[in-house]
Amino acid sequence: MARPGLTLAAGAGVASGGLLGATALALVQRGPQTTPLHQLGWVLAAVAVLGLAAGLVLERPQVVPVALALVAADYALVLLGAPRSVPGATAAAPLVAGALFAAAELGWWSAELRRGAREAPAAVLRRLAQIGGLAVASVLLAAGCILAGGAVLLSGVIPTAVGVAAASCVLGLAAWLAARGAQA
Amino acid sequence: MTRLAHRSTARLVGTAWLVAVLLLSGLALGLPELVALAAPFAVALAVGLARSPTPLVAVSVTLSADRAVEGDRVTARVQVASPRPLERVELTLHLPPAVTAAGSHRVAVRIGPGGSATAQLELTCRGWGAQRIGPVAVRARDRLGLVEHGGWAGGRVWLRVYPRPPRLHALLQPRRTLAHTGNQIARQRGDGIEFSDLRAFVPGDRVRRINWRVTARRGSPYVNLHHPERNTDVVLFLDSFRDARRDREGTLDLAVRAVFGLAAAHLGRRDRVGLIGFGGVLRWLTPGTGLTQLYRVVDALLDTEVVLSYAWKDLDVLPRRMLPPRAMVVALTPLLDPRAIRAVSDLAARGHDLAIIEVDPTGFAPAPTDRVERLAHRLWHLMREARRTELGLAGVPIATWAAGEPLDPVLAQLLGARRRRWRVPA
Repeated sequence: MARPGLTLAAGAGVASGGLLGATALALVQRGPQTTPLHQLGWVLAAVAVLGLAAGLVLERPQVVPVALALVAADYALVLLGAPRSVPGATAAAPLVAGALFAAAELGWWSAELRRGAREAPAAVLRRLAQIGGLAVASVLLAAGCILAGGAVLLSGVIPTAVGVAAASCVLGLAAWLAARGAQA
Repeated sequence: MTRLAHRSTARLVGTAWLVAVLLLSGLALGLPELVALAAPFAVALAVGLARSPTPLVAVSVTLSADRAVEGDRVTARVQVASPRPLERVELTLHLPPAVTAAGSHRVAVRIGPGGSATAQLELTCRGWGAQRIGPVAVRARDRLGLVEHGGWAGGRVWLRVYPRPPRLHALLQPRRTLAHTGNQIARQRGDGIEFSDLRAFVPGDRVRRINWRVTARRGSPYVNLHHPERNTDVVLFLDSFRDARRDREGTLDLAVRAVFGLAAAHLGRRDRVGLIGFGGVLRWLTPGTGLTQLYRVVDALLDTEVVLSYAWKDLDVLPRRMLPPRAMVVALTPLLDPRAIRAVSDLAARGHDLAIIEVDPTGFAPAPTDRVERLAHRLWHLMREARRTELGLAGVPIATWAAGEPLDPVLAQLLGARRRRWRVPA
């Protein structure tokens, strides 16, 4: 018997892994060549893509943010390795953000579809359109962040403190949510 | 309306961790680009948490038919309504093992503004019994899928699945019949259609009964004698103490189907049919006739199940009227429980017209794998053979019915065995 749910889930998973892999590969290529950082970038990219694939196959959606974080770490390595005078790495941030967000959406969708619910064809198209729209919005938002950061050029103790407070709040939220027990 | 419980999803927790890690890394490493990567996830997190009021849903389950026969298909309609639009509502219809859904019993629907949605599931009735359909597990999530709400909603509906009776072309002939008109040819002589014998004319005989050919040949008047058509009492004895089962099929399923088929066939012949469910729970149905009795038998069968009991039971627990003296008793038993074996032996000892259909449990036993198991299996077969021989020596005709085989040859075997034992009264 055909299992359209599983086919869709596999398709979304492959798309997610492919997008993540392509992003990681692009970042690795941009990085410093034949250095330990470059080699570390390859390892991170490989672990991210393989981990995401394994997690989606084994119905462990918790690996999605881990894979995204590894690709983000890859991007951080590129930024750390490249000279600050080269603007290419920073300019790629919106595209990386959009790709990560789209990969995350596809990964979560794949995990959702693995539960085996019958989906209406219209719902699938609507979801694809939504993911595309959110990815574009992510690119714009990240670009806005980069532009705003470059224009305002905030620095000093107060902005750093605000950033630390924001990050701590989100960290606290994550810990609280995890303590309440999340459901896949 | 059911208020669904709030649940955080793995996605929400994962997104929060990712945002926190990216923000802290960006701050620690002095890379604002990482903050830009975190921004879409942070906005999604904020929007998802801000727009997650607990939804109210009303769920109802209806079936296209509340009665079906094994193998039939029934359409279940699950209707879900909510005052608020819901992007994705996942409905999982709880089904008993004997009912399966084509494809999946889980359906995802979308509820538009102020509306409702209906999902249809094609159900296949794999096994007989009173099957409980529902309730429905509801999982609703917002557009971003960060917060999920879930719970059980909708009531339960009952689907009565009748066993599919085997096709029967011949039935057992009772040793004795009752006084009422039926379709059984009685062994006594009287008014009827079936020719029985000839005898010399005596005053009082009807002229229309004279056999003119024989009269002309013999030179003195002779009359035809006939067998009248009568009905009989048939008591179906169903042993539900034990059930040898593998996967979805068991000896009790076979026995219930056979009982249904026999009851329908005998009632079609205007016999009175009664039912004794002899097991952990004792059930009986006094002999009756007609379509109403068939429904009574079927309803009693639907509630039949194996109930574990260590209490000793024998025929004394049955009401006297359950076993009329002229009744034919057809027992369906796997001959696994000593209480049931003792009961059928008692029936034979009390002089009831008894026939046993042994529902063969050996096909449901796992195949022996080693020498010890093979030996045990062989011993078990020998013990069963000895039990059959004992019953045969007690004058009880017994025939074995294996899964997958038609019932007709078994009835024919019993019919032959019973004919050999009887002598037609002169």
